[in-house]
Amino acid sequence: MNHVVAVLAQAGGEPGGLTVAGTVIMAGSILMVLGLASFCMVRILGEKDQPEGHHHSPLDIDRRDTE
Amino acid sequence: MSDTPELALPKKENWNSKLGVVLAVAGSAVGLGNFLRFPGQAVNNGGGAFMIPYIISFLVLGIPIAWCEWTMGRMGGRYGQNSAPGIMYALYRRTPAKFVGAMTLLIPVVIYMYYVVLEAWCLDYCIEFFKGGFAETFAKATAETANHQAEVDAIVGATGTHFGEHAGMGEHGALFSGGRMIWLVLFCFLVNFFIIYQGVTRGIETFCKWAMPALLICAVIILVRVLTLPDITVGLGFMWNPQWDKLYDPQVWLAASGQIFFSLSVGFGLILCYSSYLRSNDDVVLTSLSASSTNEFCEVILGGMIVVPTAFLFLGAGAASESTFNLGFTTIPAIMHFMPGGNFFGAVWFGLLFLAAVTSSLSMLQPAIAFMEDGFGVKRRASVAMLGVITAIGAAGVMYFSKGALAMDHTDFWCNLMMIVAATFQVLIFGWVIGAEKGVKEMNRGADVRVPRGVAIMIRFVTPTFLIVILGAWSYNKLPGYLEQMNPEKQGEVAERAAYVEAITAHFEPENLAQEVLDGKILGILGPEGETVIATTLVEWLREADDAAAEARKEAAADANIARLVFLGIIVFFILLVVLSDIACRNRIGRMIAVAEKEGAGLEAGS
Repeated sequence: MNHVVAVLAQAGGEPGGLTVAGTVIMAGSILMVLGLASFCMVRILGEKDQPEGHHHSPLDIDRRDTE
Repeated sequence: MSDTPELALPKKENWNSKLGVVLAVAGSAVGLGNFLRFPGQAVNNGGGAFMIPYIISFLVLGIPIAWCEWTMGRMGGRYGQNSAPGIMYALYRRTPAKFVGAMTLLIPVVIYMYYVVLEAWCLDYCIEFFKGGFAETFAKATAETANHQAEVDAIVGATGTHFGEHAGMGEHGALFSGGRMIWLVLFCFLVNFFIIYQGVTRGIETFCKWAMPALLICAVIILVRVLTLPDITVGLGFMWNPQWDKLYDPQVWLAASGQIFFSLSVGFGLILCYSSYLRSNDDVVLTSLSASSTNEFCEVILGGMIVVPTAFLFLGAGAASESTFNLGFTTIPAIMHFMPGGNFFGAVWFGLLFLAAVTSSLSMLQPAIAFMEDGFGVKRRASVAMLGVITAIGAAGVMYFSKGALAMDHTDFWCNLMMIVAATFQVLIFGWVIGAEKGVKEMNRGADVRVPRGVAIMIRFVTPTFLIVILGAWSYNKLPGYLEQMNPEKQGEVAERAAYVEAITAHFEPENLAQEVLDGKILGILGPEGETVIATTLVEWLREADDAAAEARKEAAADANIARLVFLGIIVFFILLVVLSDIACRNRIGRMIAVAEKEGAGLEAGS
């Protein structure tokens, strides 16, 4: 693998590894997404499904079908 | 409407569980775009810096549109409507709603026509890795390579050739002249329609309940393999190190908002349809957020840490910055050659892409099925059969006109454009017709996590503005190019010139001229770019290229006509759907809504 890195360096690939800023953004993004997904899943799995069946009811909206 | 004969509402199908609907919607959103498009967009638009506009777009664009769609879908479901035209008719009776309803019905069906071909590509690659076919190809390709770079070039060349052949990129009709691709597409069709025939609960929900965890497990296996590779931080650095200056580039912001928009499957009727199967007090806020966050998990964590870091590590910057298709079907197979256990991981990777594609394609079929059932009372068996025939004709067209993925590319472009238009209208209907305040109140009905009041302002002003900007910028950037590709005369001229340029370059090759000198000679012989080349005035030695130039001109003009055909096909299909939606809304859908209102009024009076 070091050979690959050396080849890339020669080719101008600048394989410098993760910088501090890169690490912070990567870790921040992962934590944000993981946090949001975990929060949602915990709430979803913890919620009881609504036992009532479906019912139809009028909505208080103006459909603009009358002038 | 009151003088129309009454209609008994059909028994309403509902999701079995909240997790089921979350996985189904997440399944519809998680697709090839998460694993292939996102990393490509990020690495070409500032690396880690891309995450800033991406997260802002997620909060301002993705989440609010998803909430609007979920809420409107559930509202439509209360009137017994599961299709976009029915839902729109239940909420808004003016002409724009009819067009939006028809558009959101058309988009998923048309996307399915090419998506099923992509699905077959994934399955083909999965099989190829599973039976070790790529290992043989790679062994032949690298038999005489002298160093690492030569090996990389040989492998990427071999995977590129394989992709070109299996996707029929070389010439139109190639996929119909033998090979297994046609059978794989047929198999994918059967799988999709078998599941969809089972219905929402027994088919889609059951399938997604095992397919999504299976997909996640496959992705985590690959992720662990990638993160345990020596020197992987080199690849992660290439993907995540921020280029802050890119934040000044408006194209980066456009790319980020486009990625969020297309990734969350908002705007084209899937969420409207799926959420209409919710019960009237089911939580749309948390369910929507859960589906979106599952999508983001797949995109940012799995998509962002697998493909580009490994591609850079093994193949270098060029291969890691390829377009979506090349990254997916040329670069990744090449990576597997260098990765220990590549055959196994290659099969797992393309297996997971196949599952992701199936869960997405299922969601593209259900809205049309629901429309035929709701709008015309067609039984499930008949609606599945009719949709099967319609999509088979479209998919056959996409497969036949496969050179340079011509039909696929143009279909994708027009659908993307319509998605942004449809999403803009949906948000405007939610914010200005239903009313943002009233809509948010409805959104919060049965919600475990309540939406803050500020969201109403965002939905009314910020999100539609953002969408209109995206629509304008997207059209400005891409529309002229695609319209030009539909001009046979122009395309013919470009191709003819390219053929002469090739001949001139070959003629002067022995002289080893600098590029600038060569460009000057080309300009001197052919005249400025954009001007018509007059063959009779060309130098004698170049007249040998006349036949090739004429052939190139003819082919390019034919391709432009195919692009026109795709566009016209979509327009005709759209007009047909507008007419059908109108007929359905004036008849069966209208009567169903009237009955639902009567039942609802009875319930309210009873309570």
